[in-house]
Amino acid sequence: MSGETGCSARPADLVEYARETGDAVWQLRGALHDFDIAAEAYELISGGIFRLARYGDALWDAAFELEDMAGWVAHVGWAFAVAGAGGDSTATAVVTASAMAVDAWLEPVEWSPAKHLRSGAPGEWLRALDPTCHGFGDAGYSGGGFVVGPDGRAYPLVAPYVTRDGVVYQADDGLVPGARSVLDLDGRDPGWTTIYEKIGVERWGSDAPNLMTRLLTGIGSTVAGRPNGSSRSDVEALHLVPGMAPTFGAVPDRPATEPAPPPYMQPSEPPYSPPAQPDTVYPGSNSQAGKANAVSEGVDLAGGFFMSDLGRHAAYDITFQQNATGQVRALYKRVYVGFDDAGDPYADSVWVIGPENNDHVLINYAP
Amino acid sequence: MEVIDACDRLLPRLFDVIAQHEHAAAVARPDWSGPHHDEFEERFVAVQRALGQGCTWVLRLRHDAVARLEAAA
Repeated sequence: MSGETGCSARPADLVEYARETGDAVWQLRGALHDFDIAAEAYELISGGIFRLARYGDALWDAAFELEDMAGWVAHVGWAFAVAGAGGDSTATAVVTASAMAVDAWLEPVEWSPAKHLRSGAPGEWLRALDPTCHGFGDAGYSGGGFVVGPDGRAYPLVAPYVTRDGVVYQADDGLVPGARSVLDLDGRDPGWTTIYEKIGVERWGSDAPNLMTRLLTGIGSTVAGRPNGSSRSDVEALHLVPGMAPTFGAVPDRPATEPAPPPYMQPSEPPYSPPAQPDTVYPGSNSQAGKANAVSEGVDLAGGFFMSDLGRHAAYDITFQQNATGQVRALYKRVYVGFDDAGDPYADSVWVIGPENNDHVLINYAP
Repeated sequence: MEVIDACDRLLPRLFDVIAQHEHAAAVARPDWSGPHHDEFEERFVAVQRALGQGCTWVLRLRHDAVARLEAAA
């Protein structure tokens, strides 16, 4: 839904609809739950003549649809409030706005930063930032790419860093009032205020890897081990708090799909013999060992094939900021979950500074 | 029979929900215009129809249960 079509509403009325409908849904769900018990017993007597499951499910579907409508209308009311009433969703006055403006505020629910990255044209990123502020020798910004925000504007992605006592830090791990902050380069670039922030879990890379991508990832896993990244359940255990290093809300289980490393792998014959050793014999070259290796690679290939999707999730915290001169920037933190040799989880945080997989700056949190 | 009582409890609840939803929509509708309102009206009609069909089904179920009870007596 989009366009320059004009539209109007009273935000408070839409919110009131959501409240009343929410109450009705709550009562309906309770009634349906009680009804189900008796209806299921009757189904045994009647021999399913009324196809209870089918019609009962339709009533539950109606309850879910009502609940969804309540949430959606409340969201529309809020979008109207932000688009034309200063964000006051209790506004009782009629708010008039373009449908596009309202849609722009409805969209963030679906908006995901990984799908809105782009590289910068030569010099574009530097021009977007104040050139005097991106480098102080021992502090500055890394970057190069952009993220197109929910409002349609392109924000330069920045990865701040400062050097303290010879140690480089890229982010704060909690700040007490008045303390120096990595994000403003220890006071060298102050005055940034957050205009929008979103925290969530996303799948990075393309939406759904196709067969060839999965196959290639599978092939890659045979030489590089488990693909980089985390599963959704891994990252959902993370607890992200703005301005702090991530912590685990619950310790995630080691992924069952992660293959245990083989105790020993027989080396196969490389495509080129080592210099001055043309007659080297590789145990993996004989038929029996070759067969064993083929099985091993088959297992790894299958693991990589399926994990090419499972291992592409990350938690993220993206902040859009603006300063007094009207300049904008985005700080896009992504957090992956890994497992050490003991099977214990750890979190790796990076600043994302562009659309490529290696457009990352590993974060060392300042204490 | 338990299912008859269950139908008797559910039916007024369904009628209440239909009426409550109608009332809530009447609160939202004044001065609401544009494509979001149009989408709302489409969804409103569909969900009210589904709830109405649910009432019909519960009535039929109750009728069937009463008939079975009478036949067994």
